[in-house]
Amino acid sequence: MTVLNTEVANNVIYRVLENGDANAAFPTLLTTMFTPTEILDSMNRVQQAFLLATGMIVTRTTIAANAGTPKYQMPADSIRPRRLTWQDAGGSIKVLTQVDTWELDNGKPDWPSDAGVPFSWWETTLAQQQIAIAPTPNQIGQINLLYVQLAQPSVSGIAAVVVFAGPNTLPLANYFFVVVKETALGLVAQSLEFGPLLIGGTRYGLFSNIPQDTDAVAWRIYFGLTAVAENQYFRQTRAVVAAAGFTMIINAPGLAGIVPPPILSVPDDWSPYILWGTLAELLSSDGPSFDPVRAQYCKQRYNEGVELANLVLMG
Amino acid sequence: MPYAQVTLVQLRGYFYEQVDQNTTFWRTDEVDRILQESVRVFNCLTGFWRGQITIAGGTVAGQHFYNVPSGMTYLLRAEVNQQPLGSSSLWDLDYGQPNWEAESATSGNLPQVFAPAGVNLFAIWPASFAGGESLVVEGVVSAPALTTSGFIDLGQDEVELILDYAEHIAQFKEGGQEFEVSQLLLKEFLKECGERNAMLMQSSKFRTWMGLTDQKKRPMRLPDERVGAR
Repeated sequence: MTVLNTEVANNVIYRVLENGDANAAFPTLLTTMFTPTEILDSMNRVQQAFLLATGMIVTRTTIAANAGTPKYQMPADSIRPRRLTWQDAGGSIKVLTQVDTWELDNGKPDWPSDAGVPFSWWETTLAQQQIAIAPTPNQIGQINLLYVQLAQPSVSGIAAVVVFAGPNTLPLANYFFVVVKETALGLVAQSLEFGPLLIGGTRYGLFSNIPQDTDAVAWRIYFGLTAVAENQYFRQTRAVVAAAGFTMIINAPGLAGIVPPPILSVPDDWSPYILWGTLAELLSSDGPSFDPVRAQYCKQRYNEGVELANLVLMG
Repeated sequence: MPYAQVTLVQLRGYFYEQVDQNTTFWRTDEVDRILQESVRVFNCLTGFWRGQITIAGGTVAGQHFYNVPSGMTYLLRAEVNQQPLGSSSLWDLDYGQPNWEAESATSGNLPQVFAPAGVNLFAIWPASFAGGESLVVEGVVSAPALTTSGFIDLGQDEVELILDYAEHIAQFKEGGQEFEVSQLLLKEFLKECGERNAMLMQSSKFRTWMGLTDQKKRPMRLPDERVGAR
């Protein structure tokens, strides 16, 4: 996967004539009809929906199961379980069939109190991110899970960095910046690039509107002298960022580190369908940009991608 | 051996010929992106660019799931030690061979089938007995990244198809009748893709998007007689 988020965003700009008499250079837009944040947010949503609808990218993990415990938490980054199997202590593995509670209530009325070797899983009446297996296992085992993982979203909504007068041990120079979100799963999302901004010496940079995402364990700001090649970063835990009113300050050299590229979570050849889905959302939104005819066309093209993915994955 | 017939500059030139050499409304950067999208969509629909990748390390004893090598759009076939694997699905394995994930080949025997689990993962059954056999997958690889140097691995016969699609999506920003009329190009493009990929013709949605109707050719009843010329 090598297609950058900005490639899709630049295509959006061309398709909605937001480039003017210049090459598309997201996040620069000709009019106020769309904001860069709207485009990124829409792209994020479409990407999640595409992965969910197609099950194109799947991830495997295991959940340790205990005797007498039917309910288990899904991984935090799971947006859809695709396949579950039950592995007993002897190593035998059987697929679990998805059922709902109506089927269990009417087909196996004693299921809430029964224990045995699980043969099904359900989620109909459970809280989000929870699944259960039936019958309740009567021995320890393992649930092997194949699931659709949350796509790597882009961080949007961060106000541009503002320069203030104040001490800074960084050498005075023009710097470029990228804000990156860190969760328990690692570095999961990043913003567009900011800059160049002249800071250092007696000037420091303040980032405002750092997102208040509760799954973030820390935020990083990567910075460097060359665009798309930030080579050092400053990291603060979410608690510290929150205490500072969700702002971060760059006033000292950072740790060495290279910003990961902001790429789509779908294989390159499928990226046009993310573009069409994004355009469908943008052109469906209320206001001057509302264009139901072209939005419908874009939706059809997005659906073409979903249908095609389902056909080729069917084998 | 790849084709050496068309360059990006030539393709761009052909495109401009179709849009009256209008380099103001369609900038070069935009045209390059349109052409890149065209080859990607063409590849998704037809599986035009295919390749073979040997999985590093080969099979692993007792392992059923393997990652699809990066750069592969989707998998078509697989072989172990130059023996082809049958094509299956996880559903078929789950319900036709219920304990398949716990089964390994016996000594001297090889895995028999493969089943895609997504575009990034596939399974083989039974697992390798001792591991170390060569594992080769063949499938649709990513469409070429269009650059101004070198040739695009594309024959002259496919160029028109790519250009038709490119012209159609270029009309998108014009909207109105220009775009409406260009829908015919999309239908033709999809039909041509359907001829290269029979799987598309099995989908009623694709047939509809191609403009092919599933309605009965003979009506159940004739229309009522009417007075006047017929």
